[in-house]
Amino acid sequence: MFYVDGRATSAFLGESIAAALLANGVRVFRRTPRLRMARGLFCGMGVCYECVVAVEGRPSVRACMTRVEAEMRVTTQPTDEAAKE
Amino acid sequence: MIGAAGTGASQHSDSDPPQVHQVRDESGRSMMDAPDETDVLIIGGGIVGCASAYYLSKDNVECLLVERGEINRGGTAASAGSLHVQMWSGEMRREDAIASDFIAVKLEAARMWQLLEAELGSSLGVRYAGGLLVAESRADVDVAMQLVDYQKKRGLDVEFLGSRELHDMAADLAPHLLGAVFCPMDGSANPLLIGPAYVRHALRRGARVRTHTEVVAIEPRTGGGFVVTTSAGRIVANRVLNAAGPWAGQLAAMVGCHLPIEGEVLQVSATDCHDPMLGQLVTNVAGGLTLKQTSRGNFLIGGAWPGKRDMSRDNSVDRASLVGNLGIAARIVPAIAEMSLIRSWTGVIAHVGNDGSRGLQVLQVLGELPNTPGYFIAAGRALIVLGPLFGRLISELITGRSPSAPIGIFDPSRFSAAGARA
Amino acid sequence: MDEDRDLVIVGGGPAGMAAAIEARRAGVPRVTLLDESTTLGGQIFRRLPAEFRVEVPSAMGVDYQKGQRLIDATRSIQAELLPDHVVWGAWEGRTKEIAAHGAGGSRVFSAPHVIVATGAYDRPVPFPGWTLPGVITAGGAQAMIKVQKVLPGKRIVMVGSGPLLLAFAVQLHQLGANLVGVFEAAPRVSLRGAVGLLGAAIRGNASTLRSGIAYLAYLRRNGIPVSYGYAIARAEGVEEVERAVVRRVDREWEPVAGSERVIEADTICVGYGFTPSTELLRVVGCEMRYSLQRGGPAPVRNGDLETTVPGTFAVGDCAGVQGSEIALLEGKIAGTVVAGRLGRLDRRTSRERLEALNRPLRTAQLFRAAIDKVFQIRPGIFNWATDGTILCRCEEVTFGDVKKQLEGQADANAVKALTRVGMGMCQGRNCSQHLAWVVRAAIGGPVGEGPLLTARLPVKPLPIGIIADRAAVLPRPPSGPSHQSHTVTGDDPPPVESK
Repeated sequence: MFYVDGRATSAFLGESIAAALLANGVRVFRRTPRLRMARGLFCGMGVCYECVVAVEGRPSVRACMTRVEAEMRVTTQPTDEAAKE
Repeated sequence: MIGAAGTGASQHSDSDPPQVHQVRDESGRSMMDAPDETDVLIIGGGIVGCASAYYLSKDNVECLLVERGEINRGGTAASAGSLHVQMWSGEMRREDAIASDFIAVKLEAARMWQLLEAELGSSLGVRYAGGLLVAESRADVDVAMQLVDYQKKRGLDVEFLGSRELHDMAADLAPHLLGAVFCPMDGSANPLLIGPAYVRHALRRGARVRTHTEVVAIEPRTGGGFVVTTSAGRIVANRVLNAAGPWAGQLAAMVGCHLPIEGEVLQVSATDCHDPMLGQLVTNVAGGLTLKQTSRGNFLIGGAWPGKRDMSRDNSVDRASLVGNLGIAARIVPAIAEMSLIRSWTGVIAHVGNDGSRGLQVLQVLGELPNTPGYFIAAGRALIVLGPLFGRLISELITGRSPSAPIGIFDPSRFSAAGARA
Repeated sequence: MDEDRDLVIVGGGPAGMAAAIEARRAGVPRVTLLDESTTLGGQIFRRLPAEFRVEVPSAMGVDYQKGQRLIDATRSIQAELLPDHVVWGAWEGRTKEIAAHGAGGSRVFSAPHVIVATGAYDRPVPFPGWTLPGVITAGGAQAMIKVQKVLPGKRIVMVGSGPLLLAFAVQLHQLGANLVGVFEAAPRVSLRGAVGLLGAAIRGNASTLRSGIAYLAYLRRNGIPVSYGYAIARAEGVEEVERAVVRRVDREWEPVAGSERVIEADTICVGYGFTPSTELLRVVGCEMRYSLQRGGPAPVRNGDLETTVPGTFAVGDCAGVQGSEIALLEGKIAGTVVAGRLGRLDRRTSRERLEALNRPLRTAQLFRAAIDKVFQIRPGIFNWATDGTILCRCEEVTFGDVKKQLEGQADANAVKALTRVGMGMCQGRNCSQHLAWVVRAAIGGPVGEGPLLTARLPVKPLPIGIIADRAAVLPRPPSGPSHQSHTVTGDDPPPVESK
């Protein structure tokens, strides 16, 4: 169990944040700073930095390269303000 | 947005880049062709060369700018874009007469910057939220107080902020900071945009620009003028302007003048983008940090840390410098430790050798070489803030007007051997 | 120094593992292998997360088991294996330094030899709408489905080209995906191409050829339409993909007007080959050569697979995408060469081993060349974007934005300076090849040969806290001409005014 934008969300131990988000129907991981474009998983291997979310307040964490941990708090709208909550 | 091409996609004015019209001339001139001719040959396409082309062409002086690489890709492009007006502690050791003139020049340069975006009709990423020279220790605070006193006496608007005022102004600064010298005139600009903006206008007014043209030899002609040999043919010029930044020494040597200006490798780092949290330009009393957050949201971190000289290729980033420079940045703005470094780069800036002065010397050179009439030079260190003014001053000199700022302190003849021919 | 090594290998995929195994077999003492991921295997031999239990290994497929054997072998050779380590910096010289960070901070390894085996990543292909959530690379889809056991969407369209396309389509379907169409950009395999493949097949690669036919049959049986000569035109949707629009392309992959088909889909899986990961190689100054068919820029190498930087080797897909068979062989070759250079193998043994490796390598290269000839990337792919299409995903810069800056600029780096293309977190990986094409197309000259964006440190974004020394002070300037002029008494710090 971990938290996505404050919502309790189920996940398998060991899976990536990206997989857990997709499995729970979340495909928009962030919005771009200037044009507010919706972005999500693209390359799946840590190269493109599109799938970045905020984890425990830390921004720019690649969801595809990071494993879910119990009680982890993930924010999918990572302005630094939201990330600090 | 005046003059800037609408891109449709950009919503913020300082992300609209200026257009660059043809900066490539017809190439293919060979050494065998009849030489090209110009009134003023500007050597060097960094901020000073580009500004000079603009002001000269504005004053109806025919000029040709040659650059061995691409416009604005040398020292200017590598810089962090700081516009310092306030002084660092060593500057208090300048001789008094020189100090007053230098301050006057700096103030005029800063004023020009404030009007520059309007004059050129395009965004240069200029931000003027002031600058903070932060004190970390009591010893730093003592120096800061001296600096405030010194600068105020000489007409610079600065004040000392205690810890509370400092943190009210910039909440993201580290709690251990005891205070800072605040100068409202400090700011920053995007050095990548300056050269092209000046050149765009200069071209419209008839200036010519040739890239990928390297000057190989400069031969004064009897009767006046110069024959300049370049990698793309010869050029005959009435006047030559050496605006070659770190390479100004080499170009001066071509006319037998010893000017101790060489290259020094510094490095700058950029973080990823974050919400706006710091508006001021931040430096520190003890040295080793310049820090700003760009309008895009990246933090640019510099501070005179040396890069590695690597003659076989582009200079490389020095790891010890990186660790130290980033360390100071993270110490003074703790949030930086959570950010990602995206790129570090090195740039060559001018190192200016001993000019024999007592006290801290002036690190810029501007004027006509005394024994080589018609050969002008505008080069030296820290020329982002002074660059536009230097361009204007050069044009004033070349057109025989009295300069609009006290340029005596920059006179090349002060280098003892500067006037001597080889 | 406890970080001195004899050999540092960057990348734990097939090439890197093979190099480690071979070097250790020959007795090279201190071998360190670094990989960014939590498990070894690279992309092709991606492991499941440790917590997932593999109940029926044979169901995971031939590749998975092959990978497992290789990983088990790598674990048994007493090399220092460091997964979860990101290489961020490299410095050249007689002794090379590789900086990597992982649990426990940043470490710098020194070695006289470095083997770079950083692999490749899916070729980013800009087209209108490519940034919408739901557009995913073939590799990304594979990671989700094979490894994470999560379907990336409910109605999946596959677009791409190459021998992996059908194989992957079959795999996706077998793992439960609702695949609504497969669109291969190449025309149906020509007779000449088939004969070439057949010839290579006779040299022992028949399995691949048979599989291609089997895959098609499988897809047909399961009602999944496969179209040839079709490519992605655009992705449509407000916040996510809602429709995929495909269209016919000619032999050069240029769009054919009036041939669009709209398909209801929520996921577009894009697979037009791979691009070598060359940032580390370029940062240390390796000379590169561009090859469209090999995926992009690739390091120039001698017969020992050594780059133009002596002592730095490049093996596997990072030296030009050629697949895992070649990666394995190249890894072995470089490992053997390094062992010879370190005196661990006498000249004769070294020569024999290298000959024994070069023979199958040449065969594999021939087969690969035959495959590449049939499944060529055609340059029309660079015309699928329109002016409104995003070129730099990170900085949200369109093709149109870039073209406006192109008058008179020959230099991708100058364009970057003016438009911010390449200044984002991906450090140019998503955009630099296309940028080079756009620049080159504007000034003429052989397309695809334009200079790439300069690679810089850090090779991957580096969390600053890991290396920052918060106790630092600016060092006393070195004595000598360099800094004397900036002080009088020599007691003061040099100017804060940086540039």
